[in-house]
Formats: sequence, C-alpha cells, structure tokens
Amino acid sequence: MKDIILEVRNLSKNFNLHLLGDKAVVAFQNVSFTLKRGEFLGIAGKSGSGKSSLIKCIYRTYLTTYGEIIYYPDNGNPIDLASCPDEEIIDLRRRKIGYVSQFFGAIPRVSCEDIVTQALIQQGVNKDEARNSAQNMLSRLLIPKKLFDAYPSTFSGGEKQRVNIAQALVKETELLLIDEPTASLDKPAGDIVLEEIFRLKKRGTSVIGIFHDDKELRGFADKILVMEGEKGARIYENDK
Amino acid sequence: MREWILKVEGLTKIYPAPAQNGRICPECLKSTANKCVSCGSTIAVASASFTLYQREILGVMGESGSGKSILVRSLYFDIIPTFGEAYLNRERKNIFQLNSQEKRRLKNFNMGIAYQNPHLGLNFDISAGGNVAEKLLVANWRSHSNIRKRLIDLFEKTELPLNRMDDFPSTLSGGMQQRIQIAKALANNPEILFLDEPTSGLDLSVQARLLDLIKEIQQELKISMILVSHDLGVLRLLADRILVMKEGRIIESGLTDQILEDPQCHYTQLLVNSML
Repeated sequence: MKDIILEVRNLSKNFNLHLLGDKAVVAFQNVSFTLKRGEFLGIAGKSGSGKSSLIKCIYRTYLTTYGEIIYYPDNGNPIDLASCPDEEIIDLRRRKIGYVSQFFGAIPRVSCEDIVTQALIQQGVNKDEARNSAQNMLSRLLIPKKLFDAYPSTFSGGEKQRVNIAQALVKETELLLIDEPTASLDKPAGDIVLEEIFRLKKRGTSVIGIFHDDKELRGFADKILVMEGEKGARIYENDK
Repeated sequence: MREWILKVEGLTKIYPAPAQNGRICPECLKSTANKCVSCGSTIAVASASFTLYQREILGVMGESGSGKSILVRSLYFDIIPTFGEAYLNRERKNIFQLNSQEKRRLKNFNMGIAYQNPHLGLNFDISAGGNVAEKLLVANWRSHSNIRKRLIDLFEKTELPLNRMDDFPSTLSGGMQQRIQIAKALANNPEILFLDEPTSGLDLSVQARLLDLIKEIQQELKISMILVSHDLGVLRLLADRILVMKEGRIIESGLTDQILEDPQCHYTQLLVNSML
C-alpha cells in the first residue's frame, strides 16, 4: 500500500460563464500538494480564494479545467479523479470518499435516521448493522432520539448540519472532504464534530478540510494549504 | 466498477419531409439543427450515444421538442429509429435488428415503461387490474389465483388501493393512473424501467409520493431506470447521472450534482440558472 493517498498536480479551475458573453472566472490556479494516509490537510484562504472549489473539484461536483488529482486507493490502481468516468466516481463516493458540504440539501420525506442508514447500505453494510451505526452516530452528534424518525426539513440549522455530517462520517471512508462543517454550529456541538473527525483520522481516514476558524485549523491540521486564487497556493507543515 | 446494462450507439431518428417520399437526404446527417436545411426533414434525435449502468437512475433533461421521449420510446420499440444500435446485457446483438417476436419478448420480460400520457400506456377499456394482468398473461401466467395474488402484491408495492382494482382507468386520478402504469411495468420484474415525465401534471403531494415510490423501487428491486424529466428538482432527487438534450442531441452529460452546479454548455447554464 502506498503511503500517499492523494496527489494533486497543477490543478486549475476556471468557470466559463456563457450567459455573460463567455466571461472567464478563475476559481484557483496551479495548486499542487500531496496527502499522506491518515494526514489532515487544512485549507485556508480568504473568501473567494477557491477553497470550496478545490474540494468540489476533488469530489467532481466541479469539472477540473487543468491538472490531475491522482487518488491511490488502498487496493487497486491509481485513479485520476479529474478525468476518470462518472461511473467510477459514483462508486468511489459510495465506498471511499466522503464529503460534508457547507449546506445540507435536505431530502424531503426521508427521516434523518434513514438518511444516515442509507449511506451505509450503499456502502454495502447490512440493514441492521447500518441502522445501529446510524443511531450511534446521530446520538454522538447530539441529535435527540425523539428526532430520529423526523424529517430534517423540519430541523434547526444546526441539527440539519449535524445530520449532514453524520451521513458523511458514518461511512468511515478512506478520504474525507469537509467544507466548513462547524460554521453553523455552536461551540459545544462544533467541538463534538471536531472530536468525531479526529476519531476517524486516528482510525486511518485522511482528511481535507476547510475551517473558517483559524484556531481550529491550527489545532488539528498536519499541513496547511493557503489558497490565493489566481496566484496559486502555498503549502506548509503546521507545527502544532 | 458496475457493469452496464444498456449501451446505445448513434441512435438517430429522422422524420422525412412530406416531399421526400419517406427518404432522407445526405445533408440530414450533417445538419446541426432540428430541421435539415436541404430537404426540410425533421431530425428528432441525432446520433445519441450513452450507457446505462446496472442499478443506476439516468436522468434525461431538456426542453420540450429536444427528443427526450423519442429517445426513450425508440428503446422500447414504439418508434423505429432511422439509424443506431443498442445492446442489452452484454449481448452482441443489436436489439433494433431483432425480429418482432424477440422485441416483444424484451418488452414483456426485460423492460417496462410509464408514459407521460396514461392513454399511451393503459387500455382504458379494461379494468385497472386487468391492465396489469394483461402483462402477466403474456408472460404465461395462467392460474387465476396466482395472477390475483401477484396483482395484490403489485398494487401494494405501488400503493394503489386494492378496492379500485376492478375500476376502469378513466375513473382513477392522474396519480393512480401513473401508479398503474408503474405496476404494469414492474409486473414481470424488468431489468430496465423507462419513465417518461412520470410526475408532470400531478399535484405536489401526489408527485412527492410517486417520487418516493420510484426511489424505493430502485433501492429494493435494484432496477436500472431512464428517467425523462424537465423538472430539475425531480432529477436532483432521483438521478445519479444526467444527459442534457437539445435539438435532438445529447449536448452534455455528467454526475447530477456536477451538471447542476458546474454546467458546461450555454443551454445547460441557462436552464440551471432559471431554476427556481
């Protein structure tokens, strides 16, 4: 098994806005870094510097304009996430790569327990075990038991976000991408989320995360990537 | 990686202009719009190629007249394509070249369809249950009690009230008619389900229950689906991947979240930006 899990080479993302006379907008340019197994890479930078865009490129929500994102699975051949077929990405998303978005698009009429359980079933876990783990995860993230069978569309912002986090963390994927998971949470809830992320890291998950709080970032990250939009990015070791 | 179940290559459907006597001209194939500039024939679908993988829901979006329905209905043999190939289940034979008996077999056992217009999919002269039973009869179900049992099973699965089984489709609501189409389509455990605008024209709560049903069917029965819809909300909820069609052509395709968040073509950007 290679000790590197992800290698990003000269990655750039431009948007071509056809509705505005083909205006080109640069999200970020020429970003390179490597991520070792079990490492935590924090992404920092001003708003608009391309932090979320970078994570979305790795997850294929955005198409990469230039560059490569080489992913080394624990078994099997390296895969370029920037150019591999969609089907391969669907498969990786089910089993290997987790993503916590900034906002939770609640699925209507599905209870929060089912949302989290479903994530595990897609990964191939059997139903009973999945339900058990889902309940555990929701409890650890302080979702009250009486809400388990309720629809997240009726939840508070913080509760929604924790369901969103639960469905990504419960899978214990090899690679976890997180985009400001604690932004809409109060301090105690935020701390618990960070604890959970750290617990996963200890079990071998590699993490790439955006945190708006500099203290959080410096407390956790092994390396910090500072995004500077068109001017590229700098990476440095974080001495905690 | 998952295996594919349906592979379509170069599917083309051209309706020749009246003056053409049923023939198309060489310019038709070079045309980039809906109408051939030389002979005036209508190019409904032009060289569409895509793959449907096992257990996936593939969304097809595009404005009306973009060829979405023609694409799906060609695959169900309702419409004979002008050119093109389609392969099922890694079999080497182009399904468009099968004889009518073999095609009927595929329609009865391997495929199911629900049309936007229930009049296309249901026989309004026989009862709701009879419509579904018809599909079982062609699959050589003979025992009356077994058929009845299967009907109850299908009605329950599609949440149709059992006491409406003997009613005529014309006495049922639009949502129920769609459910009967789906029950009929599922009767012989197909591998592929084609859904052509299944929710348009239905009120929100009925639409929501139908969407839940589709999702459940896909997860429980592990059926692959092609879902035609111009409703981006429906596609966002159900589709794994999306094909975008315009003027008979597939102009782009990608993962659902990628098409909705980072569309590449002018038309798709316009569509996504118009979403409420």
